[in-house]
Amino acid sequence: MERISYSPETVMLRLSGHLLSENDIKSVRKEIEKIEQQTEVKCLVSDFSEVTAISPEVIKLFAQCQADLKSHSQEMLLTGLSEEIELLMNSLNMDSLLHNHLSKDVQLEEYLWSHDLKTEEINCSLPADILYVPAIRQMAQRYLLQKGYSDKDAFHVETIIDELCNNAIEHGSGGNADDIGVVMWITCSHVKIIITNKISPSKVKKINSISQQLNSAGVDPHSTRGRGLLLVKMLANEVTVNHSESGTSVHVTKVREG
Amino acid sequence: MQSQLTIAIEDIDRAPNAKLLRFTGDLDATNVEDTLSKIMGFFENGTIFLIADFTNLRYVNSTGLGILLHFAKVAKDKNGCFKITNINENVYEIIEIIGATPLLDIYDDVTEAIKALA
Repeated sequence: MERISYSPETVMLRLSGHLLSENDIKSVRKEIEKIEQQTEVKCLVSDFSEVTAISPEVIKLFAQCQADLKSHSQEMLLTGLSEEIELLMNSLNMDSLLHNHLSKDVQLEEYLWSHDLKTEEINCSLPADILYVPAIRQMAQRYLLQKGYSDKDAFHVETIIDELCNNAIEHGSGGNADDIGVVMWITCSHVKIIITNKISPSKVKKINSISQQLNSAGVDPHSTRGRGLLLVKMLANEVTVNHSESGTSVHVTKVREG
Repeated sequence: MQSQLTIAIEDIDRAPNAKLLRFTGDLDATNVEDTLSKIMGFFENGTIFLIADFTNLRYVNSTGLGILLHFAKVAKDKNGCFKITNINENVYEIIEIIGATPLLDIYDDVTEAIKALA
């Protein structure tokens, strides 16, 4: 049995050989109990493609584990069931297991993505220079379009990244290669963005400026300042700001609309 | 690297102090200074009636929007105009969110904007 971390929220158990004995039951049970305790794991994929034989007791154990995982809001999927194992499960009335079996023509990656069980991460750093920002925002926009996000949602995320990076650069005084950090976590349903200004607060010109602007009611359209953060506030679903000695980070969640 | 932005300039029939400016690309903090100096050059040379065609302007950020507002104000101060046409949905939404729609002279298309010059 091999455990593979497929993604932060999906673990795969690759099973192999004969699963017949009491020891086999104990090993499987132990692994699945560990997964139940990991609250960040949303899905366990049990891959049976290398299983050559399985006892009814082990099958019943899987059904029990599936129910236990469900009570922890975790899902169990099965892949790679041979015809023989499927027939055996049928004869044992294991509908719940069979219902969660992904047939060969279903791509696991696509299934996990479309059921919000997969997060993709983009993580990069850039110097505190606005010339680097267009590449990051355009990359984010194109990536989201590729993942099926609408033009409007991708544009919103592009704008959020652009405005926050420009703001981080404007309020910093760095000059180092990794002054600004950009992290995006993308799922089928939403995008989380963290823009970090890695400059110590003692060097930042206006440490509270970003918090103040985000909390303000609005901006005078005639004003030359503050529009960018207003845009971020209006386009995002959630925005929070954290200050620490290692820098200032802005956390944004943007829920997919289209 | 600076964002790509080109502005193609065309004369407008029977309007000697007017120009049609066709924007292509993205307007953001990296090219806003160049754009500012280009457009202000027209105002300073007496070409005070400008129509901007944004059909191929894909993206504008808050800094870009800032200079569009500046052009509108300068044009007004000089008794001219800075008309904007063919704004795409995404850019229009940004202008709306900022609350700048009443401050900009927006038209659906170039023909309407040219008619309005008269």
